[in-house]
Amino acid sequence: MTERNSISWMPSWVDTSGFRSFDIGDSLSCLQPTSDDWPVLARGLRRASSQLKELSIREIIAAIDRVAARWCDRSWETRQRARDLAARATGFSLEAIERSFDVELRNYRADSLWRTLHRELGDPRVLDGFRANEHLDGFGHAIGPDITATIFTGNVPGLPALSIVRALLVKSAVVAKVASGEPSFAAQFARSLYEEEPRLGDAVVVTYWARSDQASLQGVLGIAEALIAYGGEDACAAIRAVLPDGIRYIEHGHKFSAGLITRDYLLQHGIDKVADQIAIDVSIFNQHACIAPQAYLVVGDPELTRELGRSLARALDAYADACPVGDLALADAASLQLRRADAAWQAATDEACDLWTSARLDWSIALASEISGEGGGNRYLRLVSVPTLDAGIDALRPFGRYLQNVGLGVPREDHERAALELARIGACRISAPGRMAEPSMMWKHDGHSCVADLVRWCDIEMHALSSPSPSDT
Amino acid sequence: MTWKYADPRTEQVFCRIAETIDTRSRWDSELESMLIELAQENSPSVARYWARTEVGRGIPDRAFRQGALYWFEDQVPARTFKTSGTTGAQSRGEAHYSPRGLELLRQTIVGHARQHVTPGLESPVILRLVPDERAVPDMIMAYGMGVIASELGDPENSAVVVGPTGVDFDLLAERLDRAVAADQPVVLIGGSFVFVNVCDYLEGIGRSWRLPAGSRMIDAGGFKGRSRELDVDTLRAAVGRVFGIEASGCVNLFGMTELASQLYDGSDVALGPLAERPKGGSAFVEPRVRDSQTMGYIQDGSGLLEVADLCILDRPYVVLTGDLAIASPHGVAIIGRAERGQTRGCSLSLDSLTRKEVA
Repeated sequence: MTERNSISWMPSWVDTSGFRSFDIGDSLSCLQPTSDDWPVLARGLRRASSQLKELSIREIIAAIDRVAARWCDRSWETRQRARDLAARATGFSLEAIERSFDVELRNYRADSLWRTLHRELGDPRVLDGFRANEHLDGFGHAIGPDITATIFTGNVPGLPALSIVRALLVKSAVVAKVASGEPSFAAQFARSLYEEEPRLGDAVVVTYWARSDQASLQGVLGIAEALIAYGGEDACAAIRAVLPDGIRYIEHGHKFSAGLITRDYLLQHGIDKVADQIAIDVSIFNQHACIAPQAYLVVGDPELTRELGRSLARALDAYADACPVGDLALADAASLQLRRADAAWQAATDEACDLWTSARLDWSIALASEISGEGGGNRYLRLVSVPTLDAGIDALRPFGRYLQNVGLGVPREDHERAALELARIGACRISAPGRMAEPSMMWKHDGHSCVADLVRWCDIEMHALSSPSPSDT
Repeated sequence: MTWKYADPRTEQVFCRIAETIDTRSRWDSELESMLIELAQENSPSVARYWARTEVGRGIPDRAFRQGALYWFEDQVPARTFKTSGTTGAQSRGEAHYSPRGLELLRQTIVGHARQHVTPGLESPVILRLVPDERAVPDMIMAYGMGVIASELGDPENSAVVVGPTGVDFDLLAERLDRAVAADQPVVLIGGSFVFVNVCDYLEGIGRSWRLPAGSRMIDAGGFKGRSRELDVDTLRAAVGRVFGIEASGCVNLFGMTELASQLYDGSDVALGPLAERPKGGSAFVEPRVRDSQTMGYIQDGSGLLEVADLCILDRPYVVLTGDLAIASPHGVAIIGRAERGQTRGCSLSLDSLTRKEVA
């Protein structure tokens, strides 16, 4: 158990007296186990995982659902507190945090969790014990790790809940390392789990260590059977370099997302309406999330793209009126100003280019000659005109390895072909413009089965007792 | 109407710049106005950029990667320098110099060096820890340090101590021994990180000198973004241990290919996060800091560095360098690069990755 102003969360059974304690900023504290503590913690976490395995998946989902229901209430005190702390850490406006929480936390309602398990495991009750499987002609049981470690980034407020929930769904205890960029949400979430179902909260450790602290990383990797890591190219490479043999590893590294819309789609839906949709895609999470588009490709006459740019300026302004970007830190503001200066230079040297910006730093739109892999976020979008749908797909092709989410707005007759092609070049999610920022829990995040990849299976087959009776199926 | 190189007005601006370098002590705003007019008339791009932003707004450093920013169609450049360009040949920035521009480059380098590199010294031994300019003719730092050595150094004992395979420690030791024996002050000049490596190596093999009084270390660049970030005082301490150079004899300079003039430490206040000292300006080069929220100039606080360099005849005189800086009453401390694409978790900063793939 830990204080409310702590970014760490320790289960009630942990003796924290030997832990390192330090302050972050003027109001937050953190407890950090030393490298000697991890083996002791591991014993407790394995016991906690055993207790989770005593719970049925129905009970676990029900408990998480009750927690999520509370988090979905903007007036809940804990959520407001988490919102304020996240706003202070990230510089996001309060409303930007609220919208991030809205989008993230509804995914942990029961219906979403059941659907996720059905999609990933077929029968969710395989997590409780052996279940008949007609295709196997036998029984299967899915067993989650005892301990799953997670390493978070601070780019998306509320995101740490995702991996914690995935691990708890497979009845695994969790050791979560928060990010310095947004360190407070995970502990608040763990506390809320504890308050609803102590066995869940008692299976979660949330702490922080610096990226350079190899001893802590190795200490945690030494006790975990699975690792879920978010991070940039360098951070992920550093983690891969020290992965112990046999650990299950799920990585959420660098990604690139973009939109692709055609003239017909624009005309069919109306430029202003599509601009409103794109404004949502760009603005949610202040474009810090991997699912946020860095660029929208527009198939058709370049003048149409320019017209969309003008409409998008209006739409982003309206969005920012209701939900400003917030207070950008020096490095973020400087990054944005440099990108704006580059785009202003492009516009000065190439008549096909243009730039629209808000009076402050709320949004920027560059009408550009090509897409760029250079992100940076904070509602900076490139609009790029391409002559044909194939040219648009080709423009995304070089990003294939990193391509993630595509907002696809094409006429019905082109949809399947475009989606197939995008899938083949690397995309792992295709949604309508305006819905890019709402990945469901059921989505195969980064192309993986993020729950199923955590479990190990045991099947009973070729056994006299393995033929399922009709009542088992 | 475009100013030709042969236009008398161009000659007039050239003379004014030369005069400013030689004689003026206060910021020459009249010259700045002339350079603004020259840019607006000779570059529709700059005129349009300033119309979109504001007149005199620094041209972003990236602009120099996108083709020649050179004013004079009637004059073939006498020399072209290129940025280091770690991300492929196509993205290397270029700075072209007309014959007059090159002469001004030499003048500003020498003028500044007299003031900051060799004040009070008569023909010191200048040892360059950068390659010889003949080996890297498009590297402005090699050129500039070569000019300083040839104009202000002892021709007999000065040397380049970096060869094709790295630092020539035998030559370095031989020149340092000779200078100590002759009690002749030494100026060591090179990239900041080279000094770290040199000090590491020499300390590792137990070599050190007590260089004669007045000896100096001039390091260029800084550490931000290097695999190892050292603060200024740690480097100075190492240089003190290895070469016997006092901390007061250590000066950092900031230069970039896109500019002609250099900025030198102007006071000894540890201002930046790595104790970076503030740079001072002069009548012809000035570091300015723009607020990262509003882009207005600030006199105090952090923001984006812009350098106005009135010694540039051939291309934009004012550059938004892409660096972060702290403005203070003591001057402007340059504290590292501002990244266009922030690395933030699973969102991307794919600049280098994709450029490699696209190429």
